[in-house]
Amino acid sequence: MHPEKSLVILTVLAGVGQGLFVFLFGADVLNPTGALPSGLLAAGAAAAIAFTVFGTMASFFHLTHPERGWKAILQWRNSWLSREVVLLPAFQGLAALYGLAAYADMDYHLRYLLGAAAAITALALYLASSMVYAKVRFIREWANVYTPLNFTLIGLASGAVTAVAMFELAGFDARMTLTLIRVAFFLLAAGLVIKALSFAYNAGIYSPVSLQTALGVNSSSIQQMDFGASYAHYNTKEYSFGAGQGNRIGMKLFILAALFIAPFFALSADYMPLLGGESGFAALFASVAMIAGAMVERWLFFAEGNHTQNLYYGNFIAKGAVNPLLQPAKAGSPAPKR
Amino acid sequence: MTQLALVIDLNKCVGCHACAVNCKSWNTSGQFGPLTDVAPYGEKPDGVWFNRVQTYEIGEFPNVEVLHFPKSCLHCVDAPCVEVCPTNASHKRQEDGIVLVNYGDCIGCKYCSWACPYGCREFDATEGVMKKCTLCVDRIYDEKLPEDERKPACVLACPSNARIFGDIQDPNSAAAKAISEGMGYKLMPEAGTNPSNHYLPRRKAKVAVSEEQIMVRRHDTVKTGRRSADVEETVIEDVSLGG
Repeated sequence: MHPEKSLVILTVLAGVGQGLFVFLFGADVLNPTGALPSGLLAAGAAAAIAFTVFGTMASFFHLTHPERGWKAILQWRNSWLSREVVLLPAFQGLAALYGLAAYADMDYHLRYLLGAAAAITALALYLASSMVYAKVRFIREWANVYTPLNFTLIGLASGAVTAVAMFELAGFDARMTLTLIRVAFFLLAAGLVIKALSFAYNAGIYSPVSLQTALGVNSSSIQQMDFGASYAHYNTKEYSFGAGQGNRIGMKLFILAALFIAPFFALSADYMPLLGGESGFAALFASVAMIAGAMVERWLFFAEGNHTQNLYYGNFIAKGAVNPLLQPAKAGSPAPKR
Repeated sequence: MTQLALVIDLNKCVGCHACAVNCKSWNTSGQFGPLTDVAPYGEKPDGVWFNRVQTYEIGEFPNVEVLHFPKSCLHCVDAPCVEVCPTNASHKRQEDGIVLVNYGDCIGCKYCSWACPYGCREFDATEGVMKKCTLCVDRIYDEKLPEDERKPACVLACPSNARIFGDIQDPNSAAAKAISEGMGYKLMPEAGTNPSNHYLPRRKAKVAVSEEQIMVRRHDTVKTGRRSADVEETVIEDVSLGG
């Protein structure tokens, strides 16, 4: 698919904001009452909302009729995109109420209730955002379990690292920051494994769709003579980002390094100072690196998506996808992975 | 349950693009508003077409065939474009099964075009909405047109009568008969969309002749018939032996 910049920005920034809130609320709950300064909680909630607001503003550039955008909530029973459009403002509203409850020093039971609702909405929003793409069942690079896993893990990991950065900048309790760092280590490791598995999975994808089934012609030799248009149009622009771009190994290594490995080392650099009671600032660098890495990861996610309509335009990137019925078996070749 | 659809006979399509041009012309002057064109006479034309005809070469030289392949919205029964639309702008009509886009509700998110495996939808950048084949819903119910013209524009334009319009759920309709008699098939059945438009496959006409029917051989043609007293019936000339 042709990557939409506004969707890259939306999903990455919203993911950071959702993760930031989840761990802010987690820190709130794990601390005894009143140990977390209400200003920090309110500022954290505001930062989380700000991330999602920037993302939402970017997504409006994706729509040609944003004035009708409110109608997108109507099909929440059928469409994951509709559910995403319901959950995103719901998260923003609940997080705002949580921030207000913190700022106004309201009873902590109310604050916990609002925070739990907002955190659950944030987790559901990861699922909704990722299922929008995973539900396109014949883009095999998207329609697998790694899509929601990656969205969630990358969002939570970048949120956790941003929360660490926020706590360090606020000069907050080193013990809670250390706990957050340990959670972030776990998420970074899990994210690295899942993302690497996802890269490996996408490299060997089998697609049952071929030009033979797309035309209904049972011949192993089909060549296109006419595309039905005299120049580029929607079908040649929207569904691909230039065929034959190769494996993009360099980009994939950068993604793994910026999203998981560099933040791991940065947080490790802060670990010892925090144990000794001092604070570090490497987490801020880690957070920026993660956001940059997540943008590239999301861009590559869109660019890797191979739409079947490209079969009609000769740029369906087959990779490992061959129709075994029509290809002679090469001696010693493995069967295509299903 | 009515399901209006097209049956396209690939055996008769000559690739003249009359259907594509007529569709574009009708939908530029009809009720749904103009289909936009950008730089139509320039070097880099762009625009929205509901129906496009592609051409493929099948086989390897010298055993090659040419396939002309018109493709427009297939009005699927399990239309993925309808499932994913967040505003229900993309909807399937209950009464006749036509999938339409309500331009007034479309927000331009393009999700429906991502969901369509056939690439039948085109985004109109000028109006900011997704557009696609309407099965000429503004023609087929128009009482002001004579009854035999209440068909999609592409069906009327085809010079070789390769396009048939009708209710594929009605066994007596021309469309349903064409599918059952002409071995009509669906595109990409593994995509799970259950498309309503069917295609009739290309086939060579073959006549089976047995040795007893051959009366005269002349180079590679034979004159066949049955001897019956002094009445000779010539049945077929220029047949190929075999079968």
